[in-house]
Amino acid sequence: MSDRPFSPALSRRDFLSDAANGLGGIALAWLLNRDAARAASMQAPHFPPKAKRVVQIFCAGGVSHLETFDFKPELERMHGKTLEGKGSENLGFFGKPGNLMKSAYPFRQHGKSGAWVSDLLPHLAGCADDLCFIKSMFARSNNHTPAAFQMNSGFTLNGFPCMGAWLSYGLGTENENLPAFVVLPDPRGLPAGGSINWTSGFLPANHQGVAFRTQSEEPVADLRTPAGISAAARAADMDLLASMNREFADANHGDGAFAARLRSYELAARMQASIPDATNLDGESAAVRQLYGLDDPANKGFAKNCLLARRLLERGVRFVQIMNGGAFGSPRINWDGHENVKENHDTQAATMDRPVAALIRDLKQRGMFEDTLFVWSTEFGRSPLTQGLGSLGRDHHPSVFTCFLAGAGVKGGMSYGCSDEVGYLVGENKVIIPDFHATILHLLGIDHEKLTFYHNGINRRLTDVHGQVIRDILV
Amino acid sequence: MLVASAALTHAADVAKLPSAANAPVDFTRDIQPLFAERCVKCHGPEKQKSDLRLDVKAHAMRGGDSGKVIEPGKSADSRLIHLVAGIEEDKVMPPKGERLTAAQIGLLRAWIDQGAIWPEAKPARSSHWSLQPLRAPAVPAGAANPIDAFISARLAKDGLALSPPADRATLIRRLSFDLTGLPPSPEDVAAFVKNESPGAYEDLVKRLLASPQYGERWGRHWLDVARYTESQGFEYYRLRDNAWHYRDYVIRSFNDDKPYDRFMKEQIAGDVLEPVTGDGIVAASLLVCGPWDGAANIQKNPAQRLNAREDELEDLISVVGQSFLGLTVNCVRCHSHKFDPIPHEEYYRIKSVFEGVKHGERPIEDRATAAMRVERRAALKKEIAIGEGRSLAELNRLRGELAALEKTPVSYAGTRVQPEPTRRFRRGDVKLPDEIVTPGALSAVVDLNPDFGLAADAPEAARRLKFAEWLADARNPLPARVMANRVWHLHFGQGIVSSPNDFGASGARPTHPELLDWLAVKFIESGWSVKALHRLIVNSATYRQSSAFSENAAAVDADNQLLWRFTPRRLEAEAVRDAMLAVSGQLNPAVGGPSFRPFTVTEFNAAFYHLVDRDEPEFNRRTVYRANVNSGKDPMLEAFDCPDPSVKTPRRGTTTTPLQALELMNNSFVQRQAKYFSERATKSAGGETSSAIRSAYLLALGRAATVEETKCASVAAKERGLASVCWALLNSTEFVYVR
Repeated sequence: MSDRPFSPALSRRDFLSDAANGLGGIALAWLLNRDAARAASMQAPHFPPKAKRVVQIFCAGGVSHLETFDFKPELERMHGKTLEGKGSENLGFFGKPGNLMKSAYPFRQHGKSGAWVSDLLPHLAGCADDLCFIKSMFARSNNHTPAAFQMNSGFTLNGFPCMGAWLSYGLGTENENLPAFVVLPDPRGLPAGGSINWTSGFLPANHQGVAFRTQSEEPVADLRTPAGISAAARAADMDLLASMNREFADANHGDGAFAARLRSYELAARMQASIPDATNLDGESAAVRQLYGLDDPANKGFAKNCLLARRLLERGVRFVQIMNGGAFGSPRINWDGHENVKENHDTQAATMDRPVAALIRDLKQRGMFEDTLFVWSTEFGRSPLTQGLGSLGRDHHPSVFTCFLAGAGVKGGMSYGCSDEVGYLVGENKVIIPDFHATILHLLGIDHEKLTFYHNGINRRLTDVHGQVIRDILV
Repeated sequence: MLVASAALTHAADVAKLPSAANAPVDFTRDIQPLFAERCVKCHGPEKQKSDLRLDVKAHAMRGGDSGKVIEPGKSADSRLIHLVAGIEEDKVMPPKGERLTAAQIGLLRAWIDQGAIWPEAKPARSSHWSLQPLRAPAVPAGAANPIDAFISARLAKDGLALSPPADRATLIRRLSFDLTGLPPSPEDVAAFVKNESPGAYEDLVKRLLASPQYGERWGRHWLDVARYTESQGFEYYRLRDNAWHYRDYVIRSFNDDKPYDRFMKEQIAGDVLEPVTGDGIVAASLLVCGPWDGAANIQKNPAQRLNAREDELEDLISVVGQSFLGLTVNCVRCHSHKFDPIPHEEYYRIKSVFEGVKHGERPIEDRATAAMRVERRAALKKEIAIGEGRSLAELNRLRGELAALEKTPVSYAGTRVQPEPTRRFRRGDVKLPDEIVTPGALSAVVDLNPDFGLAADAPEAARRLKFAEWLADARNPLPARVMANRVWHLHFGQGIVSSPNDFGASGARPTHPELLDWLAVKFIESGWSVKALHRLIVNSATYRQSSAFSENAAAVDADNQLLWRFTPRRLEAEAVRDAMLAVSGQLNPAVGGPSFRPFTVTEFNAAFYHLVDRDEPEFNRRTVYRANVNSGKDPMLEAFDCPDPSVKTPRRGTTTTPLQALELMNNSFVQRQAKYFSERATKSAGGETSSAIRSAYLLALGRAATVEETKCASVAAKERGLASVCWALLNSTEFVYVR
């Protein structure tokens, strides 16, 4: 395979990473013909997976753990007081730490598990027994884009492949008529960094996330046959092209890439039908529309993306990422509650809570929850201190925050790890982002240390040189 | 704390230490083997527990996380002795296996008491292939051209041989795309096919290398390596309006065949290389033309801010290390290199070289031009002030000229500060600063002195000048090898070393080591002429051979690593787009200047890019002039593996995907070019269908259509118009591949 350096020292490692090439990837199909024996022995998964597919909700801006899932009675008692003895690491982004501020919402226990969830999220609270909260998350950066990059790619820098790209590379697709990695941006706008958030980095370009334009008639760029070309004319043009390409492939036998090109046009033609079919919500029942709150303007179009995600997962898309919230800044269209965390989170939760809970319920009622991994994530948490004295806002806080996993292979109704008494630092069982990623890969049957790609001197991994699978949360 | 514990230990337990040996101790004979056997597994090249190494003198003497472990002359005070003797019960070294014997501890004590003499290791040359000195190897017999001799000799070992030459029409198409990124015109093809003079091919090579399109093609290759980007990336993501000067500098350098040693020096220190020129200032943009985290640089958390700065410097060091040296020096930020002989402190010595480089724009005028501008400005002001006897039009012209002269041209070439002395960060952690280091280079290049003789507070310009000298010294074996390999890789689609940015131990081994050295030596002998290197390579029979497949040869060498044929290659994204414009007759050949931007930018705290597609000459320039931004990328270019600009890309991927097919099928640009292409073919054929088809095939594929093809295409053209045929040609495998 042309990507392998001619090196005995390397061949073993590269061998493994080639193994991980998505088998569904047609680019590889011709390589496999040539190297069938070699490739077949090394593909991921490395062991039987619990999950076949992943849906990840990514909440841009930084959701406050203290206003959602991390109940801190001590913070209420300490309200208005100064915080002592915790070091000076967590100045926030603006460097104006004020006094401790209690949660803007009351908390209640829910379900059989008795999980504490704030009144901000009544719908997700109803799913509490299905969720596995990780309350000891730790991010490297207190700055939006690097933090978003880290959640998506494991690195705080530009140019590293995102998790969906790694999975496309490692596992390929289950339905070659749809992309393996689909991103559904928030209708209000892209997160800062735009398409860098779903880049394939140094992985081959076919693993890049395909961002669906969910507000557009044409969900994928250049999907539709241009206006003015009839279906019959296009079909005849495609026949002419196919005959040209077939003749060329025949005349130059031995070059599998030429056969792959022929096939890519067949698949493209099928995608022209399969993508609009996947994005057309007309056939969804009134009950389903009601469940997601599809017609509720408060969710600002986000519900549609959640429903769309289910349709894509049903059709075999490997990784669907749903963005909740756009870029940072003012006016706020994400969870970045610097000025007034309650005002901000009220608005954002109105977009997110019901549709995300609906997606969980919908997956469950369709029997898909058993083999779909559900990931709810954000950039970082928010400080238990106010941002400046007397403010009602909270600054960025990477030192501890909460995410949750649910679905395939994950224990429901549990909490793993905790923050300290006021939600300022990790209390126990610190989970760094590479641990989070290693666990996700593990559930998909991938050993995170073996999913590698050689790039400029390093066998790169999603988890860099870190990552411990969180075994305690596995079923 | 450690000091306290050492003092306590000393008082209470020193008597319990095994006594020092009486005899004189020799480090190499007595101590080094002991370290190697019992300590270095955890405190050596593989692992550095507690940040301690006992295989490198400087590191051992410096100590680890808890300070010094060897106090020369005072073994009883040395933590090393306390640990191996197990004075503190829970801290015994080595922690596993048998404890050191009293005799061994006695030897260690005696060595320390006698002054801990550790002879300076002579800079031993690593045995790694790429660090060996360059010398011209003997050329195997049997071929007139040495390249062919090397390649044939290797093929023969596996019972293989070069393929016969490709036909002339194939050759001119291959060579044109390879050297200029554009297809040959039908006239050029016809003339070349007919030209039977013996020097016809060599003349073609000369002509193509002399064309301005050559620099646009090969400049783009360098921009991949340089991770050239025209937007910030990260959070704010803003456009860099004035970054394009560097792109033009690179293109110009290739077109002028600037000696590569000069090209390297300018990109390291062009802004301080006397006599300073505008070109030199722009050249050093290499150091900063990657992504930059503007938000992290203004945030209030000092540790996070420092980290962002360290990330910036790592990006800079990695582009310098990988582009010129083929070494992943960036891996050494946190620890000594796992595979290559690069100790931790050398990362910081190199960091010290570049510590004064910051992101940002700066004026790019040299002194003479600036002086002329100031002078002219003063003169104009005077003339305008006097004003007498001049017409209004004339005055307005003068005012216009004055206004233009008020602005100093700037570029995103980076700014400079005089930095504080550089400290090594233990484990790369900004919170663990350690000793001060002086500017220097890599000791692994043993034929050059890695020490610049500069103090830790030396002027920042002097540091980069020294580094540039060190880099471009002909005794440095890496740059010539690395560049010769890049050029080879781009001509054949595979390098002699298939990891062009990594010539270290974890990179690939050369398939043809002697050939690579021969090329590198010739490269230097030619005065570092890249064009001479091209000529050597493309004039070889190896390059000119046919791409025909052979079952037998493939059974031996499926990947064609040994070059028994020319491997067919998919055109890069830029070449696909440029070729469409060339074929449709719409290519705007305008050279240089600000990039065209087929997008609009809106600001919502950060910049957002929205694609536009308009049929305008500006948008029909070559793709190398498209603003190279992190977002707002063209979906067609992306589908054809155009890399993320922030990724250092020594070799591009070649994928074949349905999304790529969709782009060629439906993209409005492709539709438009197909229409123009059909109009052009029709016009040149005087309206007659079969000759229009003939013309279309010649334009797109550089060959005439066969009888069968003409028949097929005529039916299509009659039913649906010639544009259908032209669309199919632009989509065809033959169009997007060279053979």
